[in-house]
Amino acid sequence: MRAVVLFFTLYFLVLAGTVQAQSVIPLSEKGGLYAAYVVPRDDFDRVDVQLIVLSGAYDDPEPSGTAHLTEHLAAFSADATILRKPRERDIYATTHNVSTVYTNSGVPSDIEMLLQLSRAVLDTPSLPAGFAKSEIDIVQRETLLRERQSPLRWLRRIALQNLYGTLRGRANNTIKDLPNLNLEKAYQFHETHYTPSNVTLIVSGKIEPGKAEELVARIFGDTEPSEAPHKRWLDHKPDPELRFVERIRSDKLAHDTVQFAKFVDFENRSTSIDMQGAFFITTDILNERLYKALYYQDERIFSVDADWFFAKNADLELTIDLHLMPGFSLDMAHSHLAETLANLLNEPITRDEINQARQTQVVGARNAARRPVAFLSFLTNVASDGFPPVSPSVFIDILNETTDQDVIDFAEKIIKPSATSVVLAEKAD
Amino acid sequence: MQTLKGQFISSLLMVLSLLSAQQARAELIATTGDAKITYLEPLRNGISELSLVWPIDRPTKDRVAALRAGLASVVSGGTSSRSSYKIAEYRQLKGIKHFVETSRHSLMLTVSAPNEVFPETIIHLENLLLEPEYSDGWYARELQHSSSIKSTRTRRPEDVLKEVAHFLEYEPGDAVAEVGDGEFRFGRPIQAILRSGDQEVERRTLRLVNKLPRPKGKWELPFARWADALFGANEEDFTLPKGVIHFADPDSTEMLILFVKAEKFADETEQIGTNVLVDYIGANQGSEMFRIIRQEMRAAYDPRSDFVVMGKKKAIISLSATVEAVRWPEVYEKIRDIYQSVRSGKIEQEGLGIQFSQLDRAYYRDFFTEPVWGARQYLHEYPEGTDGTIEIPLFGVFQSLSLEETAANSNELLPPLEDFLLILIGGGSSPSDILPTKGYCSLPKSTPLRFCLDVLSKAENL
Repeated sequence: MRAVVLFFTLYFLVLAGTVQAQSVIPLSEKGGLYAAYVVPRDDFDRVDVQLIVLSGAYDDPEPSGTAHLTEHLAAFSADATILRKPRERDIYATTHNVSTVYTNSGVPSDIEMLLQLSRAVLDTPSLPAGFAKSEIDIVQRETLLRERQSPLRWLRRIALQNLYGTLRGRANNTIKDLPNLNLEKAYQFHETHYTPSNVTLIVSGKIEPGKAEELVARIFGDTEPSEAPHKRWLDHKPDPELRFVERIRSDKLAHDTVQFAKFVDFENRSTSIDMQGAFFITTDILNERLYKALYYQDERIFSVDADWFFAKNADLELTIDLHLMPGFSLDMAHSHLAETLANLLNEPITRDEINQARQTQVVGARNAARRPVAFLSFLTNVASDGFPPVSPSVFIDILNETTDQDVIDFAEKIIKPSATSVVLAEKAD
Repeated sequence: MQTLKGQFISSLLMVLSLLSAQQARAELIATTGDAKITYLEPLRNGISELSLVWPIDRPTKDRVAALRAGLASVVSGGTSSRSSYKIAEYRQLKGIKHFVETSRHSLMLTVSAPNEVFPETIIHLENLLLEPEYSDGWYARELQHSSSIKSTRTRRPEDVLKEVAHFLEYEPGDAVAEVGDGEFRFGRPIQAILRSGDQEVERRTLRLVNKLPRPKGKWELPFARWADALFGANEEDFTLPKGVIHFADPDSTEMLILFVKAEKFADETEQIGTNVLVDYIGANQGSEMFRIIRQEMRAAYDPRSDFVVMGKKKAIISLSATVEAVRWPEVYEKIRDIYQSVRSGKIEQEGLGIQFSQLDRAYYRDFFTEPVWGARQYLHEYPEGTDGTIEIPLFGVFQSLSLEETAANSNELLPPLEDFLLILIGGGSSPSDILPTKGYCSLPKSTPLRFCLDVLSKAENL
C-alpha cells in the first residue's frame, strides 16, 4: 500500500534531495563592521541574519555574568526599537564563551526588518529604567535555573577555576557573582564590546548576493570602525606543571563523575586560522580512540563526553566528563582516564584513520546542512572567533587540503603532558 | 571554535518463545502473523527512514524499560561479526541514526540515514536484528539510560512531564519478574513504516521483514491478553489525580510550580483548538505567561505551557514556571489568573492567529524533516495499520479550524484549573500552609513522583 499524507497549507517550502554547495561571499560595503558575509542557499524558504559580537563570557569584567546581562538588555532594546508587534517573534540571543550571537529569522520578504533588528543591537540599549534593572532578576533566575538543570556547568567551572587559577576570563564565578550584577557594568560592557569593529554579520538563506550587499551597505553603512577591545582572557595560561585534583560530594549528580580539564599551549603559533582542518580531523581521531577505550571497551563507564575548544590564538582546552556506573570508584576511573590519555598515541595514527576521520567530518557537515538551525550553528562555529564563517561545503574543502602530517603533528602536541585539573565528584542521595 | 557535536491489530499475535543455539536464553519479541508495511511520503531533506513496530505485552514500567534497553542493546551492543565500536564507527561514517521509542502498547525502532546510503542501511539493520550479541554489562548500561530521570533532582518541566507520562502509560511492576535476564531478540514486527522513494529500499525492506523470525515455540500467554493489548481493551483511564505534590528543598532559593492535567478530546478539532489556546497561554515569547510573568512581574525566566500529544485525541497539558522561592504563592496565583482569563474568553485574536500559524508550521516542518515524528503520528491514527487510504484528520484541522469559534469555546476547550494536579519542587513556604490540605502529598527525598501519584490516586478512589 502506498499513501500520501497531504498538508493543505504550505509555509516554509522544503526542497528535496541533495544538499547544495554553499559559497561564503564577503561583503565589501559593510561600514565599520569587522566583517560581513552572505551565504546564499535555496534549500529552505527562509533567511537568517546572525550578528556576532566577538565578545562573550570570557570577556566579563567583575562580576561574572555581565556579558549575559548585556545580551538581555541589547536584545530587548532592539526588539522594542524595531518591532511594533513583539508577539510575532521570539528573541534568539545567546552568550557563548568568546562571542554573543543574535539571530533574527524570517521569510525572505522580512530581510530588511531582520537587518534592522540586528543593527539596533549595536545601539546603546534603551529600556525603561525599572525594566532594565529588573532584568537583573531575570538573569539571576535563568542562571540559577541552568545551574540546577545542568550540574556539569558547576563541575566544569570548578575544574577551570583550578586550571587557570582565576575566577575570571576562561574561568568564571557566575553563581557567587550573581548578587553583584549591575546595569552600570553592563552598559560599560556594551560601550566597549558592541563596537562595529568587534562585530561580524552573516546573512544566509534565500537571498541574492547583490540584494544582501545593497541592504547591508544601506543599514550598516553609517557604522564607523573603531579599535577592537583587548581580549585579556587570551593571556590566561596555566602553569604547565599544574596537576590539580579536587574532591567534592553533591546530591545534584545522577552518577559519580570525573571532570577533567587540560590546557595545551601551541607556543610557536599566534593564530589558529590555518590549523582548522588539522584541529577537526585530529580531535575526531582522538575522540574515537578515547570513546573506544572508555565506553565501547569498558562497561564500567556510563557515558563519556569530550569537548574541545581551540582559541583564535591557538590555545587549546580539552574537557572530559566521565559518568560512572555504580561500583566503579572515582579513583580507579581517574587513573584509568589518565592512563588512557597517556597511551592514546601508542598506536601510530594511520592514513586510513585520517581518511575515515575526514569522511566522518564530511558526513557531519552534510547533515548539518539538512536543517536550518544546525546550518546556522555550523556557520557561527568558526566565525564566532572572528574568522570567516565556514559553510559545510567550504569546510569539506578545508578538510581535503589538510595533510596527514598536519594531523599527526597536531595529535602529538595535544597528548604531551601539560596543565590539568580534575574534579572527583561523588553522588550523594 | 568548538568541535561539532522513537494498540494495534492485524492478523497478528506476539508471543514469547525460546530460540535455539547461542540465543537459547533470549526472549523473542515477534508476531506470528505478517507485518503490515506502510509507505508514507518521503521526507524532504534528503533523509530516508524505516520504523519497525512491536507490541508491548505487559505495559509495566519495568517491562517497558527492559524492552527499550533490550532493543537499544540489539542495535548498538555488537553482532556475531562486529563489535559495538565497529557498529558505531560504521554509523558515523554513513550518517545513520537509531531511535527507540515506546508508548503504552508499542515499541518502535526507527532508523534514518541519507538517501544515498539507505539501501545499505537496511542490510546493516538486518545484520543487527538477526545476529545481535551484546553483553550483560552493555544491557545494564542501556537499562540505566532507559530508566526515568528523577525530576526532583533536575527540576526540568520536561523531566516532570516524562515521569507523569510514564505514570499514565505504564503500570507499576516487579522489576525482577518483568526484566528477566535482559536477553532479547526482535523478530517479525507487526508494522513497518517506510519513508523513502527508492524502489531498491522497498525491496530490501520487504526482504528484511520476511527474514525476521517468527516464534516457533508454543504460545506462553493466552490470546485474549495479547488482543487486549493490541485493541486497547481494558484501556487505562488516562487520568491524573487532583491535589498537590510537594517536594520540599529548604536549601533551594528557587521553586518549580507546575500544573498538569491529562486530557482526552472528542475530536481532532477540539484537540488542535485546545493546543492553540494552551500555546496562547504560555508556549513562547508571544504568550500571556511570558508577557505577564516574565515581562511585567519579572518573576521567572522560563514561564511556559506544554501540550504533549500522548496518542489519538489524548494529551498532557501543563503550565509551569521556576520562580524565586519566596514569591511562589504570588506567581501561583498569577498563573491561575492568566489561565482563568483565557478560559473565560479574554483572548486577543491576532495573538491567537500567530500561535496557530506557528503550530501549523511546526507540524509541517516536523512531518517533512524530522525522522520518527511522522511515523508517530501515523501510529496514533492507525495503531493496527490500514489497508485503505491514509488520512490523518489532525493535519486537516489546520485547514478548517475557526479561531473565532476556538476563542468563543475556550471555556469548554480548556478544563477547569481545579481539575489540574499541582506539583511544587523547591524551596519556600509549604503549600500546606497556604492551599487546602485535601489531596496533598509530601514527596520524600530520592523518591519518584509515582509515589505521590499513587497516594493521591488511591485517596481519590476511596
